[in-house]
Amino acid sequence: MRLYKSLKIVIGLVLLMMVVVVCQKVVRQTTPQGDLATSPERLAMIAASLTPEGWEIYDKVMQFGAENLYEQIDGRAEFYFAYDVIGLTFASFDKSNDNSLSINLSIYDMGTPTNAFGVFSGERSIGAPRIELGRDAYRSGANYYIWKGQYYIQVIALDTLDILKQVGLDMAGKLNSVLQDSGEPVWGLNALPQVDRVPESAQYFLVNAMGLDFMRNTYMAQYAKGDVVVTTFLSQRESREIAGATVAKYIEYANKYGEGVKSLIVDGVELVSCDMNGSYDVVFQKGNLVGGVSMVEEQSLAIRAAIDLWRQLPYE
Amino acid sequence: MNKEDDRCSMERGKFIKLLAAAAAVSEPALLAAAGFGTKAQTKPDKLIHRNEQPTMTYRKLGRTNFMSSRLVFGCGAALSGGRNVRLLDRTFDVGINHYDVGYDDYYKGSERSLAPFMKAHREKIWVASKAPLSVRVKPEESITLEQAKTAAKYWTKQLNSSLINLQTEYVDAYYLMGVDNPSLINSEEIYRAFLDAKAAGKVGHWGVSTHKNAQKILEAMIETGWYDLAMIGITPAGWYDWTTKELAEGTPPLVDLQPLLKRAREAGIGLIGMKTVRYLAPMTSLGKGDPAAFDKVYDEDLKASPLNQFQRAYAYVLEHGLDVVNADMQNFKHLEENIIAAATSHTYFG
Repeated sequence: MRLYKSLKIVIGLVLLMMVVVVCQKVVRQTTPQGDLATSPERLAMIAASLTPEGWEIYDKVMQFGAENLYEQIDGRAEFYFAYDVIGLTFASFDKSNDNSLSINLSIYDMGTPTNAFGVFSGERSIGAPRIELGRDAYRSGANYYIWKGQYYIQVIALDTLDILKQVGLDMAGKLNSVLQDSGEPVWGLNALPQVDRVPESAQYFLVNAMGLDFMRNTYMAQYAKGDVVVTTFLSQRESREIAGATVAKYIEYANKYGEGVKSLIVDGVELVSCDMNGSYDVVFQKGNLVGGVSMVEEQSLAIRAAIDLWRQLPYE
Repeated sequence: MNKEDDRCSMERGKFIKLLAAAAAVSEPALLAAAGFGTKAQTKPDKLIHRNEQPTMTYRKLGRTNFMSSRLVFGCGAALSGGRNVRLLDRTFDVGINHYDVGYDDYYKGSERSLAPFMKAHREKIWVASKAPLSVRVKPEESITLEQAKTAAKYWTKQLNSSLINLQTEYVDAYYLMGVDNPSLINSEEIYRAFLDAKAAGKVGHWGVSTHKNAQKILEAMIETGWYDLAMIGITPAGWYDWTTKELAEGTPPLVDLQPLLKRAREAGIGLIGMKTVRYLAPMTSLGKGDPAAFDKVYDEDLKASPLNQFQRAYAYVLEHGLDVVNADMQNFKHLEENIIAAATSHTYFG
């Protein structure tokens, strides 16, 4: 009898736990807080829900896909195309009865955290005060720029008044708490060595890194080497063969525009040193990685920095 | 800035190498077409000469008296985030002396990316930036005095920000960006904002960029007599509407716009073409993906030339009323192609 009662209690507890779990899932799916859905419709609802008290949305929340992104941002669309943008959710907020106070909100869905980092890093204002939102964020005047997972968010005010700074910050904070971040890592941010890296200098280029049409999927960052700042690049190619072909194209480019290319082996590392008329690029292949340094005035420093980079990279 | 005669000579070997890098036209043809061997002007003149090279051709920009390279380097998209700064040295080597950029809220980081290059070559280049007026008004409406004051204030603020980003106290020209409303062109409030900036030594010349309702905008500019520069969305087939990414509805071809362009030049306005090849580009570059779209206006000689479709379009507009052309170039390949077009355009037309 006692055993029967105990079993009933245990079964009852298990059933209760199951109900709780189901309810949690339902709650997540229906409330804005920690919303997991990322559909355009949901993004539009989120944008509308950010209207500050005493403010109103100018016209309506607007959404654009890649094919008509230019309607909102004109020529800047090309910059986002270069990172395979999915779409934009845009809203403009005016203070009621005073439309000189105006804030524009843009939520770019870049599809992946890597591409979102690409546009964020491409537009970053170096040295602007950082704010603790998303994976990285900063304030410039009364404007806020946030990288959150696959999203790049801009909160841009028409003026730099304190009221706009505060309203913008509130808006950015609420949005940050609602949008989901998958947590997917950005390969290059981990692959690029951390030691001596200049803060905020890392950037990602899906295409045309350094103005070179063969440099795709490339990360760049600056490193402090004593008193000198050295620009480093690193690209993960699809295979060793493609990495080798990329280095060959780099040599071709250096021969065309530079003053000489030398293949070297220094401390066991195979390098190509390119004299670029007053500065040096040094490039190498390591497995399916292509890396190196760019526009370094002193050749010996360029070679040392390239070797430093090579040594800190995994073999892929 | 002071009047200068800053032409630089270039040794023949390096000149040949620079042009051969483009590999679009034979070397002898390039040498002849680019006017290599043209003697430097020996008579004193009031023109502003900067960084002139035999690999480029030059044209006076209206009343500014600046002899601009016929190819303008469009910095806005190219330098955003510092992505293509290594193109800058190349542009300077080949004799480009005119750099066009825009305010930071639109072209994030471009002015800052240009700043070190500008500092290194300040006396040898011409830099123009721009900002919009940030007024919500349709092209056919008239702005109110209050709107004009707000617009003037915003534009001035952006000019000051641009100077900080460019790390300079002076910029050669600052434009009203993306104007489609003639009442903005006629606004005395906005004009006063420019005059105040000029008096403060912040800017030398005033211009407008326009790619919607451009014909009416240019006509308004001519009428006021206030403007030195007009950057217009133009193609061989006529006006380009950036909003729709189409040729402007009902546009006449460029050849029929010559009288208007002549009036603008006579009014002292330097004419800069922009968005010239955008229509030809693939959709990923906001074009229509039809490289043959302008063939209908070309003669057989141009069609038979070794220029590609983009080069032909640039060459055509340069020889049909535009003083210079602003091109967005994001890699070395495009840069080399555009250099050829600008340097040799005059050889393809009688």
